[in-house]
Parts: sequence; structure tokens; C-alpha cells
Amino acid sequence: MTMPDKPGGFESGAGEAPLFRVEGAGFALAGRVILEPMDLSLEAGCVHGLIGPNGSGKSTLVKLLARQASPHCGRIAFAGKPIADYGDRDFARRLGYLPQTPPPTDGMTARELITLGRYPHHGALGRLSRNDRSSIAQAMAKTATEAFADRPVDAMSGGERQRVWLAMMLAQGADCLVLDEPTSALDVAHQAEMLKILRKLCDDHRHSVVVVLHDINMAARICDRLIALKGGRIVADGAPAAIMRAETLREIYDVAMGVFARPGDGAPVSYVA
Amino acid sequence: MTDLQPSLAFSLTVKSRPFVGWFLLFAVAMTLFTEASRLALDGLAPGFAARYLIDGLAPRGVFALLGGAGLGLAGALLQRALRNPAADPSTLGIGAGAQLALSAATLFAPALITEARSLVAFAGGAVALTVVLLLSRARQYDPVTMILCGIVVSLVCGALSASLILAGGDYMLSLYLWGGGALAQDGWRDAIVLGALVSGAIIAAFLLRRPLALLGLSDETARGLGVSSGAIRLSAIIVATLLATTITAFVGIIGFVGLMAATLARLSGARTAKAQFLAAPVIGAILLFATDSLVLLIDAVFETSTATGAVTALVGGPLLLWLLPGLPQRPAAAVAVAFRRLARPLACLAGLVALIVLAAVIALLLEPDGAGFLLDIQAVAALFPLRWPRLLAGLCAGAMLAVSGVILQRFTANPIASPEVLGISSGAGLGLAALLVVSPYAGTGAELAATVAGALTALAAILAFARAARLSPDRLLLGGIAVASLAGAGVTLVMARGGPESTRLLDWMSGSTLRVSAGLALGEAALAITLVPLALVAHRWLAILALGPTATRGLGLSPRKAGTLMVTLAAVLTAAATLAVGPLSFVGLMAPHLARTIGFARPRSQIAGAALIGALLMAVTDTAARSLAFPYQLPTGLFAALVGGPYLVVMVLRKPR
Repeated sequence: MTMPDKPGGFESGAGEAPLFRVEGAGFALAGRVILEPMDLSLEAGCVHGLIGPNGSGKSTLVKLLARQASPHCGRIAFAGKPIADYGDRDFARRLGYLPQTPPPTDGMTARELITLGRYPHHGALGRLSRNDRSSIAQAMAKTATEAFADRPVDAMSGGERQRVWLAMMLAQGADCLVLDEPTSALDVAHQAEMLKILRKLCDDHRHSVVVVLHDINMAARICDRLIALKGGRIVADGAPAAIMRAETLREIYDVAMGVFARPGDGAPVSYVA
Repeated sequence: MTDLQPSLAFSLTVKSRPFVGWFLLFAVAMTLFTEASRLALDGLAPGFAARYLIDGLAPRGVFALLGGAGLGLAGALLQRALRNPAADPSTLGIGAGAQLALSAATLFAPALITEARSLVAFAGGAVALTVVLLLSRARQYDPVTMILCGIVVSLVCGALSASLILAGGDYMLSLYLWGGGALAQDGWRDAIVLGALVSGAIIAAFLLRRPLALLGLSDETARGLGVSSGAIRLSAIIVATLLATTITAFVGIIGFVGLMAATLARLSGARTAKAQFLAAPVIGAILLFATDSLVLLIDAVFETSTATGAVTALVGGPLLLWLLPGLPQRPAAAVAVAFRRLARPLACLAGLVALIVLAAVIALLLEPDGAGFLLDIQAVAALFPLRWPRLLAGLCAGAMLAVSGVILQRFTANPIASPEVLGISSGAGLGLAALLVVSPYAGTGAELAATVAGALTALAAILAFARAARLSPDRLLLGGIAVASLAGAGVTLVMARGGPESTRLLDWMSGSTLRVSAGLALGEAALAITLVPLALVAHRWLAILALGPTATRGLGLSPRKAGTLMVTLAAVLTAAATLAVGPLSFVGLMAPHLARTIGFARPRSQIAGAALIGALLMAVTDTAARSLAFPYQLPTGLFAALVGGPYLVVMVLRKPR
């Protein structure tokens, strides 16, 4: 597996270890290879979008990054240190993970769920400190979830629920957010809102984001870099402008696609030809 | 890891020549039967031996074949009609319902038993099945929910039967043993009746085969093809219930034969409804005949008396476990339950404490027959040494069961999880049974050690299995039930040996606080004071674990480590509590749910609230159980189950649609 040429133009903090360095990591299930051994380097302070057709291994890759699964071969380093060397709570303080379908919440209110995000800090026995409380308040402010803080999460609309889960990740105090299709169950307006929040978290608060997205046009709008997977391999990797080309998209999705410039800002928009 | 594993597909291996295998098994069973008959007849007077062979052994063999065929057909019909590959007269509560009706009739209307035994059994089984179906309707007849409800109804019916047996006195113990499914026959009458019934049922099944095959798709499709789904389903269910309850009326509950037969028929390549209705009875007949022949041989060699039904349950429990991962699961609609929330939980906790104090004072001061209060201090002082140990033990056991229930309900995110349902109590019983076999007069300390060991073993088994098969919480529950039936069969087998251990076990099963000594009461108190605060300390883990393994790991908590610790705590709590109040009180189910309904929403307040409610429930039921039928004492645990059973029914029915 050769690694596609890394596109230039990404500011890698001088001397700073990359956010993730994946070296030959792959994943197989019951003898079937889900993810070919791959090399990949992700930078801190960027929004990375993982795209590709269904079954291409996007979800598996983010699960490996979020330590929800262990690679069958190769290594993954997070902030310069092997991912397996972090303690459970230490890792949770640095990285927040939002699964594709957030679990039911057993009658919890939004505030209670967001408060659980502080577990990596206070542990099983510690009391909720002033520091914890202010982190929770900030997380709720960033995601605009104060309005429904005392409503049960299970009774919320998809968009509200997703923001509450995002708030819980922020309360963890993690700089790196890994999200698996956070917009798949949302309508267009809520999709745009969710992605706007992610973009803002990266721009204003220097959060690093790795997000799996289905909608290539949305992904191109908010991501600094797109990584396309197909059949468990990386088939394209680069700035959105480099990916949003008819021949590249065709290679990713096996469908003839076209790209035009959006009226106004000229951002590339794709369509199925 | 867990999340990446696709659910194991339920693969049906079609063996190339299954018929040869079944024929060989039948030949082996025949040989066993002949050998066992020879041993059993050996040494009998020639005339008597001939009679015993003609009117005892031969009808027994035929009855085993017919009973197996009937149960196999019943299993196949139920599985088809309910679209549930784990349906069986014993997993749907039919057998237990029939048994309860028979016990009640024996006690209250003996004439009915002699006149219309099968009818009584049918009524009981039909009512139990109706309750199960009503309960599972709340979740669109999801197979897992249906079996769960079926087994809970079985537990309740079993508790009621046991209460009746105890109320009826010692001679009813034989009724209990009969409940284990002893196939002994004393003539051809039963076999002939059953033969006619099975033949009729096979014809009915044959007539129903086409519409039932269409029902296998979906009700909409079936209706679209002109099949009246309700009528067809009802007919199939009635035929199956009639078969199962008649067999129960004759010989008691023979667990899991229908499940085994129908499953093995499918595995042997019977795909269509017609093939299954032919293969399942044949396989069921061979299975029950083989099992019974083996039991006959063992009895002849060791001169024991073993209940065949308990032996089939020993095999059926593991089979249910094996089937579990493949059960189709209807996508459960996200249940948005709006729980009340108390603004000031502390005030409510204080109120509960006050109620407990009041209940305790009443328990100590009430007249023995409950008609009034003891007025003079001497009478109170005289009764005090008799009363405080059982009061204290009841309070502590109630609190411990309740906390165990909170842990299990939170951990499995399932409101009907409880130590009773998860098989932990039954595991404790098996531990106790094993100890009593080795040493019938072991002390309280040894008994506690044995119950804890039993509970932990059952739990370790079910958790290891759950991990290997990647069970969802719902299925974990069902696995626990399978373990419970396995352990229950073991206990029944030990009990059927007779002797001092069987009395002690029946005592334990009924949850009688009558014999609680001061030492046991103090021990229970010490355990409660140590273990309940431990659960309180771990309240955050409970909140996080309820979110499932992915979110738990995401928050930096190892689901395996935290889960194992919490569930172990639940097992120890349960084992300690069951020693005083038996396995079937359902306090572990009721108290956590009541606490939540009242408004103790967060784990910490729910633990505290449930502990107090559990203690209160036990104190009140104990006082009621000893006063209501004075001078007789109803066993507290079973009495509590009488409250808990209906509570469970109401609770599940109230689930939002």
C-alpha cells in the first residue's frame, strides 16, 4: 500500500508531533480485511473529512483512531505517543468520540448527560469542582444547548440530541473530536448547523476534528482536508479543491460525476452526471 | 471489537443424512429401554414382572414417544404461528400455567381434578399464554421480549404453585415432585388418550400448513394473499396449547422438548412448514423416548427416582443459550419514558425512613393474629426474641435485593432485569443444593459461602457466554433465564432425592423467614451495611454504563472492568439476600422500579430510594405473611412474589406503545 502523496499547504506545527500518525495499521474481521494496512498522518487544528462509499472502512478507521477497536497490525500514535499507552481516562481527556448512533440515555436529562463528560476528570469518587462546572457551562454555550438542559435526551429531536452529545464531548475537555457520521440522521438545516459548530470549534478554539461525512458537498465546504476511502484503502487525500474533480470523484464513487463552481464564491459543487 | 462484529447470522446447517442419525438414536434408545426394562424386572416375581412390563414399562415407553411427538408438534406450531424460533410450551409459560391450575384445583376443588383434569390444565395454560402475549404486545411481539415475559410468567406461576404446595402441607410435596415431569405409568389409559390427541393434532397441523407458511412472511403479505392471519394463528396456538397442557396434566412439565425438537428439525433440513410438522413430532418422540430410557436405566441401576422433565430441562437450558445469538430482533422503537423527577429527593428519603420505622414498630407490636396490638410490655418482651431476627433479616435482604436490582436494571438498560430474572438467585440455589448434598447440616456460614459461589458461577457463566456471543442487554437477560432454568432443574433433581436436604431446599425456595436465627439476621445486617454503601459509591459508573460500551469507553471507563465489578457486587448482594428470603421475592424487580416511578431519577438517589423501598416492602410482607393466615405462616418470599407477579404484569402492560 503506497501512501498517496501528502498534499502541501498544511501547516504542521514546527517540530510538533502530528495529531495522529498511522503506520501500517489495518483491521480484519473473521478473516475478511476491512481496512488494508495504511499509513496516514493527521494534523492538529484542522477539520479532516473522511469520505467514501458505504463499506469503504471509514467507520472502522475512526474507531481505530478513537481506540474503540484495536488494529490487527501496525501502530497508531496520538500526539506523538502510541495510542495504547494512554490511560483510559487520560485518553478520554484528550479525545472525544461520537458514535454513529448515540445510545439511548436511560431517562437522563441533557445536563446530566453533559455532566458525565467530566468523568475523565473527576473519576468515580471525586466531587464536581468549580472547574468542572465551568467546563460544562462552556460546552453548553458552544453548542447552544442551554435552552433544553433539563429535558430528557431521549425525548429530543435528532438535531438537539446530536448537539447534546457534542456538548458532552466538549465537556470532556478533549482537544480532538472524532465523529462518525454526526449528520446522517439530520435534516439539511440541522446538518448545516452541526457542521457550522464543528468548523467554529476548529477556528475559534483550535480543536482538531476528524469527521466521517456522507455528503461530499458539505464535507468540501467545512473540511480543510478530505481523505477518501474505498474498499479499505485510501484512494484520494488532499484539500477539497483537489478532491472535487470529476475524475477523482468518479474513482471514489464509481459513478460519473461532474463539478461546477457555486454561483457567488465559486466553491466546487459536485453532482451525479 | 464488539461494535464492529456483525450479528452472527443464524446459519442452518443442512446435514447430508440426518435421517440415519435419528434412526441410530432411536435404535440406541430402544436398546437402553430394553436393557433398563430387563434390569427393572430382574428379581421380581414372574407374575408381577409380566404385569409391570405390560401395564407399567410398555405404556411408559409409548407415552414417552407420544408425549415427545406432541411436544415437538406443539413447539413447531408455536414457532411458526408466533414467528419466534425460541417458542416452546415451557418458554411461553404454558406448562407452568397448567401446573398452577392443577395445583390450585387439587387443593380447592379436588372433584374437578378427577372429572376434568385436562380441561383444568388447558385453562391454566391458555390463561398463562394469553398473559404472555398481552405483555409482549407492547413491544410488537418481539421474540426476545416474548420469551422474557413467558419465563417471568413461568416464575410467578411456579412461585404460586410452590406456595399452594406448602400451604397444603407435606403430602403436597409429592405434587411438587410430580411437577418435575415423572413419566411413570400405571396402565394404557393416558397413552391411548394422548395417542388420539396427537393424531388429531397432526391432522390439524397438516391442514394449517399452507396458511402458516404464509404467516412466516408478514401479516400484511399473508392478508394480501387472502389468509386471515388472526384465525389461523389462533387455531395453531390452541392446538399447541391443548397438546402441551394435556401432557402436563398427565405427567407434569417436561421442559424444552418442543424447543429442541423444532430446532433440531430445522437443523436437519426441514425448511417448509409441512416438513417441520412432520419432522418435529418424530424428532420429539425420539428425544423424549431416549431421555426417558436413559432415566429409566439410571433409576434401575442406582435405585433412584429421577424426574425426566428435569433432565430434559438440563439439556434445554443450554440449547436456549445456543439459540440466543441468532434470534431475530425487531428494531425496538426508542422508548422515550418521561420519568418523574423529585425536586427534593432527600425529603422523600427521610419519609421512607419514617415509614420503615413505623413498619418495624408495627411488626414488633402487632398481635400474632394481626387483629390488634399487644398492649402489655411483657407480651412484647416475650415475642421480641422471636420477632427481631426475622424483621432485621427481612429489612436487610429487601434492601440488598433492591440495590442488586438497580445495578442490573441500569447495567442492562432494561427495566425488567432483576436478580430473580437473571438467574442469579437460581444459581445461588444450585450452590446451596450442591452443599446440602455433600453435607446436609452445614452451618449458616457455609450456606452463605455456597450461595455466593453458586450466584457468582451462574453469573460468570452467563457473562462469559454473553461476551463470546456478543449479546445485547436484552439477550443477556434471556441468557440469564436459560441459566435459571438450568439451575432450577438441578435443584429439582436434588430435591427429588428426598431426605433432609429436600426439606431445607423447599424451605429456601419458598423464602421462609420463620427459621431465621439471630446469627443469620446479624450476618445479613453486616453484609447490607458493607455492600449497600459500595453501590452508592459507584453511582457514576452506573450512569455511564447505562450508555453502552462505546460511550463508556469514550468517557475513559473500561466497560469490561467496571461492568464486571458492578455485576459481581449485584451477585453477592443477591446471594446474601436469598439466604434469608429465598430466590423468588421479586423485590429486586419491584423496588428499583418503584423508586424510579416515585421520581428517584439519578443512580445515586435511585439506589438509596430502592434500598429503603425494598426494606419497607419486605418488612410489610413479612408481617402480613405471618399474620394473615395465623396460626399458619405463609413463606415471606413467596408471599412477596404474589405481590410482585401482578406488579410486573401491570408494569409491562403500561409500557408506552
